Amino acid sequence: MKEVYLFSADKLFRKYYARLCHFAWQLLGDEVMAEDIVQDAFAAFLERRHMVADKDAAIKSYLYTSIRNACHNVGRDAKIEERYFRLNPQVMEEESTVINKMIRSEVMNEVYMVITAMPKGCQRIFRLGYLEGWSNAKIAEKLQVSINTVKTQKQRGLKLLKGRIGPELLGAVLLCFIKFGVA
Amino acid sequence: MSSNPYHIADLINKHLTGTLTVQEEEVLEQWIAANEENRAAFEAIQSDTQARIDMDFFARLDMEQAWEKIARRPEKETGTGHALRRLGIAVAAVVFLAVVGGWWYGTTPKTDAPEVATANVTGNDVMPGSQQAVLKLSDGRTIDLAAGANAVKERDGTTITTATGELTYVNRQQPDETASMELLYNELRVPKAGMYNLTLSDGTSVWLNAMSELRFPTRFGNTDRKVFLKGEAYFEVAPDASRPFKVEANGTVVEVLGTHFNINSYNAVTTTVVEGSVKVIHAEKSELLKPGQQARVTGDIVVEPADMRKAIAWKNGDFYFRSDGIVDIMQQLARWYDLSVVYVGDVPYHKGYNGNISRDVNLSEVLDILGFATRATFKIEERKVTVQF
Repeated sequence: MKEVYLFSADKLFRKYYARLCHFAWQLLGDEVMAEDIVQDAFAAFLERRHMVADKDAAIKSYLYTSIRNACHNVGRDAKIEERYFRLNPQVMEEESTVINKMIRSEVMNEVYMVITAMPKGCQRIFRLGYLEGWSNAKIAEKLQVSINTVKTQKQRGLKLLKGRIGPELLGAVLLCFIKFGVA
Repeated sequence: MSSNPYHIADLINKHLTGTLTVQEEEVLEQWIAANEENRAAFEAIQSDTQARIDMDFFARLDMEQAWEKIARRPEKETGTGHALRRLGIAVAAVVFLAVVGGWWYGTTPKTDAPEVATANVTGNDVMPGSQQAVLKLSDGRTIDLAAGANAVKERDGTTITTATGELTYVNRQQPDETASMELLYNELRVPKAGMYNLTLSDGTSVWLNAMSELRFPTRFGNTDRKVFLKGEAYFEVAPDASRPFKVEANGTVVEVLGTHFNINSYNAVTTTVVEGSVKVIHAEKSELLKPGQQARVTGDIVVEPADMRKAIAWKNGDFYFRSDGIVDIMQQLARWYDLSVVYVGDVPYHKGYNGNISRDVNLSEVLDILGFATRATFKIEERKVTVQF
């Protein structure tokens, strides 16, 4: 029997891949392995998708939980055992620690989404300017544009953010950019 | 009680943007104050250096490449996946156990199985429920159907026959002969750890779940066919356009002509339609339901899409959990295995679990799987189960 779902597989993948990788990365401290685990978990999810309620929250919980479990199992693998134990001193991490990592992945994903919603040109200048803390002059030199262009692009970026993203997220991005810039 | 992590994440986002309402701020502050760990996590999210590392991590991910890898995978990989994948599947949060096999092997003797000790379960095992019920006749006599009774005749000439797990009412008199006769009511009571199938005099089949009661006339009158339900039942109503079939459960009336549907009234009365259509009536409001829809009565009648497999799994002999919390799951097990349940530790109330398993198996088997999914351990003492998180 062919089941019909609300979201296509690739839409779901695009929606959740980054935050799930971030979550697995927090648990394992290994980027490559984190991506492997998320890809495995997502493929396994697609195979038994008919068993998961066709709701955003159910799917998200399913994916987070299967990744958490897969990460725990990795912890049992001798090769990276040592590293895992160092990251997670209690072998079975306290549930609340895992949940707080999940919360972090959710929040950071949201912040990142706002950055990527900006047009590429602005994004680059924004990233360098606020994220990397570069001066206007340094950006201008790096991108081979005038300092004025950098300034205009920054302002344009702000305007676009205001127009496109809505007030509730705008603050978060600016706050984060500014904070990163200061760091 | 633990808070929903997605909700907390949402509140933190709002905090970053300064868009928290006063109430939301209170919830977030409570969460932060709940323990040192939460406070540290909250502060870490606002750390510039760590956040920059996170942003860089996101920027390095190549989503397109990753998606191609997944899309290129063969549909089913059996045995060829690497160890990680197999492990992941074995201990995945969602444990899917399709137990194929006979669903019912008659009346199971109610002796408890011997001691068990699995990865997640210790104590004495408990056998699954069985087909048992008590029938109360119109004159007040009761018959224990688990003991295997023979045919009984009611005062109005209705013949009641029993087979294993089944009860059938037959009245061969013509409607005009019985029109003036008063209706005689019988009651079928299914205890904890029981289930029973009943065929009413009009040919309607009713499956009664554990801890449920049905009150019904031995034959129906000429205007309608009305029965009274407590607990949960699945109905396959014989079509009869001249006499609507009505089920009353906890103040809600479900009215049909001929159709298949489930009513669960353990908590809020929930009606799920499998075939045909039904009308749900409550306190002068009514809603018409189509197949695939369910109505929950919570003061109002809320109509929503139904998970059909979930609604009728019990009738087909399965437990079927979809995003169900641990308390819901344990309640279902308690009804079927006749248990009392005690919780110890930090119970993740907000978490939902998925899985299915036959209702045929011993308790230890269900709990062992549940233990894998929830990371809880279970101790069984007689019929008391302690759930340890």
